[in-house]
Amino acid sequence: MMFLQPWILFGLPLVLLPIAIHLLNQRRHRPIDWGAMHFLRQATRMHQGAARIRYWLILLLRLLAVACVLFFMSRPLATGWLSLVGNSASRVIVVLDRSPSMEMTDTLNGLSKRASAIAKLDAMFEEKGNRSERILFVSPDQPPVIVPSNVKLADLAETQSTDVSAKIPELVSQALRYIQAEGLGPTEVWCCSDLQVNDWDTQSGLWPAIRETLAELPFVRLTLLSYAERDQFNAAVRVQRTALKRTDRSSELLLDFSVRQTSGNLVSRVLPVTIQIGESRVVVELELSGREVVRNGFVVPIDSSIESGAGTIELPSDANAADNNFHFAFSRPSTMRSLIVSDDEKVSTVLQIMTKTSMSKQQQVECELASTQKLASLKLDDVGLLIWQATLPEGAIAEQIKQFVATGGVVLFLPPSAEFNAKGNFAMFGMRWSDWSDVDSQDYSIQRWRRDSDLLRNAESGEILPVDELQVRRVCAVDGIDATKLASFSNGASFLCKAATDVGAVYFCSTLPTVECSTLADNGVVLYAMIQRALVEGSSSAGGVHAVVAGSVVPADLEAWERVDLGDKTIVAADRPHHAAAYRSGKRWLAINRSAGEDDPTAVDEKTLQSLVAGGSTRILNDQIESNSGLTREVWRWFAFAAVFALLAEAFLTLPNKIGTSKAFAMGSGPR
Amino acid sequence: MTKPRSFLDPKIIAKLAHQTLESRRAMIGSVSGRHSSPMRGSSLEFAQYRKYVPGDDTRRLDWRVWGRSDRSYIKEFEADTNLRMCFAVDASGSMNYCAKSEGGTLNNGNAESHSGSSKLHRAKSIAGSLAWLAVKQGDAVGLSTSHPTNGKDIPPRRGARHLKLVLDQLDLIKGEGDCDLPARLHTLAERIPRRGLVVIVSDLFVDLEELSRSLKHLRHRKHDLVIFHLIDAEELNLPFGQPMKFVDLEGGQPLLADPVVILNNYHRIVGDYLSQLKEIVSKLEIDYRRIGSDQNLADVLSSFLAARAGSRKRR
Repeated sequence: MMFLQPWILFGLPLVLLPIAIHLLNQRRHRPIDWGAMHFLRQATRMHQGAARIRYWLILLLRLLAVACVLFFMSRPLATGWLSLVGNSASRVIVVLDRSPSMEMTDTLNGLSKRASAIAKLDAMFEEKGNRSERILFVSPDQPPVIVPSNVKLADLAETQSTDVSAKIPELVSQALRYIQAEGLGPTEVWCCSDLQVNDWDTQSGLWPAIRETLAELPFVRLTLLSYAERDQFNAAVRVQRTALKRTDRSSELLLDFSVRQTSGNLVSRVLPVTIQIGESRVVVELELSGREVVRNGFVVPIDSSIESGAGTIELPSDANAADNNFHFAFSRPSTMRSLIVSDDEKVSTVLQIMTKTSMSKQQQVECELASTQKLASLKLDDVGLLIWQATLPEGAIAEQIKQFVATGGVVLFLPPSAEFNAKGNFAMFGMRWSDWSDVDSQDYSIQRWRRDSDLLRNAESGEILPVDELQVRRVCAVDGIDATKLASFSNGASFLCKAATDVGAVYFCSTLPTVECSTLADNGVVLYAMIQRALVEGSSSAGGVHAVVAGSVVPADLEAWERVDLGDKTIVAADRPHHAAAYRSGKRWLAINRSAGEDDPTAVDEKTLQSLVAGGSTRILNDQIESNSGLTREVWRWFAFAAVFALLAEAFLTLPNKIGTSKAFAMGSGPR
Repeated sequence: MTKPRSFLDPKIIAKLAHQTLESRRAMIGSVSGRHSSPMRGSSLEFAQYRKYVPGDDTRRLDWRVWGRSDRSYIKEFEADTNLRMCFAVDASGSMNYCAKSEGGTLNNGNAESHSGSSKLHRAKSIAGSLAWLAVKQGDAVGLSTSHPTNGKDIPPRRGARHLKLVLDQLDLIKGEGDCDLPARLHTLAERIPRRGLVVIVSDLFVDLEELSRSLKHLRHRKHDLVIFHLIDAEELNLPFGQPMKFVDLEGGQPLLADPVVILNNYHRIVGDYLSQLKEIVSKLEIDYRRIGSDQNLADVLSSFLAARAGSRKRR
């Protein structure tokens, strides 16, 4: 709480005035000589308990009335939560979540969560007379923005929405480092976010450091202004895969896309999904029921002359407009290149056969084989699929693979052969290999696999891959979290899993296509389908088409690119990496979209949140977009009301309401 | 020249001069008087016949009855005797109380300056006036003041000289200290040898249990009892509208109290006190008179005497 006229608070000792008056008044009691003291003492004794309470209550109300009058004259400012939050610091750091999920908008006032938070912060600063120094943190890649005193946060370009996921741990950490580096004194840190798990990354290693820093900076108060509500209907659309297919007469674009409800309450409704490619537009009715609906292989007929292009899939307007669009790019497949890294000749031979045999005669396929023995670096130019059958790499090669995946490449990791490779203890994409073990084929039959999408999906004709016919004799289990099991053995162990990545794909298969390990090579169909599908998926980005997550490219890379999507939002060149759009540069196409995590409605619960920022002076304020209460406001009225109430109560308690209630005694000859 | 006694009001004396003080019970006096006696005597009032027994005075034989019936009967008449009257005057500090409406609030340590309206002054006036009346009609008068230090007992005697002694003693009484009226009454009950009239003049701010025991003691000794209860309307009703400092006239700790707040409790306690007192005086057949500061003493005493004169004498 702060005061617009704090000097009045110097009069707080006046609160003791009623006590002084009371003491003086006791001296001024009119004395009277009294004979019937016996009656008086008895009556006083009988009344002592209630009278004492009443007496203290009256004194307390008088003190309260004086204090309230003083507070009300000093014009106190409180937050919207009735002064639960102090705001006396001269510096205020604002950490703003500008991710797409913060664009959830209230239908009544038209304000998004981000806009509501900014408006309330602006109102708070204005009520404080814009005396605080304001520093804004919006991205770990950007330096802090020192906001001039005459500028509102809402007017800054840095506070506008982006399609980049907010990295809250990095932002908070950056803000605390700034406080330490600048040697700032008492500082308020306001973190405005919708607590989405994707932005808060509760597993981040930065949180312990943040807690330690907060404990070291007792003069820093962290206030989490949260907008976790997700009551309004909202759906997000996302394209998983594009493939351009040429038939005898025309061309058609195959789209795998999904629509996901991100609102808390699931509803069933039919949504018109619009697919826009150039000037042509296709609308498809999609019945949305449950959390997510996936549509694979949706055919969009396009001009046969189109070799490549970009488009947008769009949902009708809902609570959050930021996740209603998804841009995609596509191109006719060129030569599909794959790279196999293996030291085991048996395995590499099988893999080469599977890779070189193209599903289409028109499609050219090239495969290169490399050994880890002489591998200094990987040549991944135009490579669509990397099959790594060796110890998991580290250092420069690992970084190269990560970069490859980040640009849309696909990697299939196979376990290292026991006789050729050391097991190693390295991890890639949060996964690492365990030990080899001989298993009983009966116990390790594959009964469950994902048939609707990904590498083991059914054929376009509806035919099921004979995954259940595979026999596995040796298994090298894969350990890790955040992996999606595409196929699992009857005991629950993973046969094929997919690591979590925003773009590209990383698969881990727990056995090898050798006679000693499995019938993957003998069966052939399953392994062939897996490799060919991975190759097609990887080659789509290698063929001049890139799909990246907003924020993962640098602005300089996009300077020469021409925007091709029909979005009405103007994006300045420096901000291009942060906004979803489709671009073209010659034969190369680029689709920038929000990350997949932005479509996950899961929010960090309050208990977890408190544990993340424990150790310092931290407060959590749960606000709502539709709430009109400001973060600060003049609350002198409350003190005026309190003073009036105290005075009225005091008057009531001191009312001489008992006079005349008893019958007076009369004189006479006999006792009455 | 004799100093005029302030507590003896000529108007009261004049009003009482033509009235008589009667006893409600048979008295055993020392000489003949105007009050009935439990003995047989030579008054004009016939009492009864009884059979002659040898030794009886033959002068009392009813010869007419003997002449008609040849039987010897003695004719007996009531005896008249004088009254032994003893005043018990409360001289405690609380008797200095002076009604606010009359003399203003007293807290100047000088009760004498307001003695014209204090309860003690009125007590002296009552005792003095009745003593004068009793002596005038030939009765004996005594005085006992209930004070632990300056209390003095004057046994009942007749005569103007003795009246002067009583009035002098009344003049000397000053109200101070606690009230020891019950103890004084016990002493009185033992000291008065024969039946008499005991007149108690007090505000009765004492423990009623103790008072009851002392009154029973007096009644046990066949004394006729009169109580003049001097209590002011203010003391009963506590009619003050602001917090005040009550200074104890009997020397106790002063008390700060808000009369408005405690009024109901005060009235309840006073009501209980008066009820208890009523029960005591009814049970012991005591002639009780409550007198406030606003009442005219001449009227009060006059009506008291008239009521007693009208009541039936019991032997």
